[in-house]
Amino acid sequence: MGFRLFTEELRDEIMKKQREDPELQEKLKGLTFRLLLVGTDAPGGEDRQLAINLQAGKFINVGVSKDPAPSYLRNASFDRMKFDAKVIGDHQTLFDLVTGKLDLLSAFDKVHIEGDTSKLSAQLPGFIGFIEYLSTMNIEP
Amino acid sequence: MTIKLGTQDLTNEIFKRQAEDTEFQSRLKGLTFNLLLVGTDNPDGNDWQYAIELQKGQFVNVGLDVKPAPSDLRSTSFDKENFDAKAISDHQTLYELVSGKLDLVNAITKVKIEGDIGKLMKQLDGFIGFLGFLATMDVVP
Repeated sequence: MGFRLFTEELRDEIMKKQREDPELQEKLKGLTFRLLLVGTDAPGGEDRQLAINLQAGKFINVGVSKDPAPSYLRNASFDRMKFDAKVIGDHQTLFDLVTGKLDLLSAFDKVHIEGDTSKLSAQLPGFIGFIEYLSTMNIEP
Repeated sequence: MTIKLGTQDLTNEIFKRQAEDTEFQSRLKGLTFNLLLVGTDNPDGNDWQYAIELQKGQFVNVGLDVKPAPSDLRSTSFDKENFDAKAISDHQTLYELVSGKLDLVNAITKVKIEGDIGKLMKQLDGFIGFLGFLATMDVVP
């Protein structure tokens, strides 16, 4: 069974793997970041958002939101007290990224990033490891 | 002493530090990558190219080529037998990157990279460390 990107089912699977899989625990090690990740124009004509709170290598909370596209979720402004950065990209680009069809360097040219890019830069190798892990999961658009 | 980016002075300083500075050696540890790095339109009206051969954490060779801008150095084609990738950007962007004024996420969107991006991504941690070290040197445009 595949897990649809930016949905509760994928979130729940990642939370489960985080508890059970030492490989994922290792990939997440040291990551501390609060990220809003928005995929626009997902299947079903909706925008989807993950509100990720990652502290000391653990997902503390991942909120899932969706709204008919084009939605307010694609607005670049966000609460900088609660999140470090917001990344907005079309759903297909983000799907290609997490399934290993598109590398992160190329993806940066196709997404919009607002917020603390210095903090994101410093933790980039950790995010690359996490994305590599995602590419081993059966993720669907 | 200040060191101008895109000159032999920087190459000489890097080799000196490599021989003498344990922190520098530690930052490079494990890096194996052959990179052509091109800066366009420096303050003297030139393009420059470093041909960097980095093997097992050591700079083996760094060639320098300087030509009046706009030059053929900015062509994206390169010798893929001898180099893994070619990165091209304007001199000012590269200066801001190596002096720590521009973070990697923002720099990536301004740099054209051709070649084995996968190999580059796998060693990104090392490159970030190396950039962090460069930022402690007194590099000038």
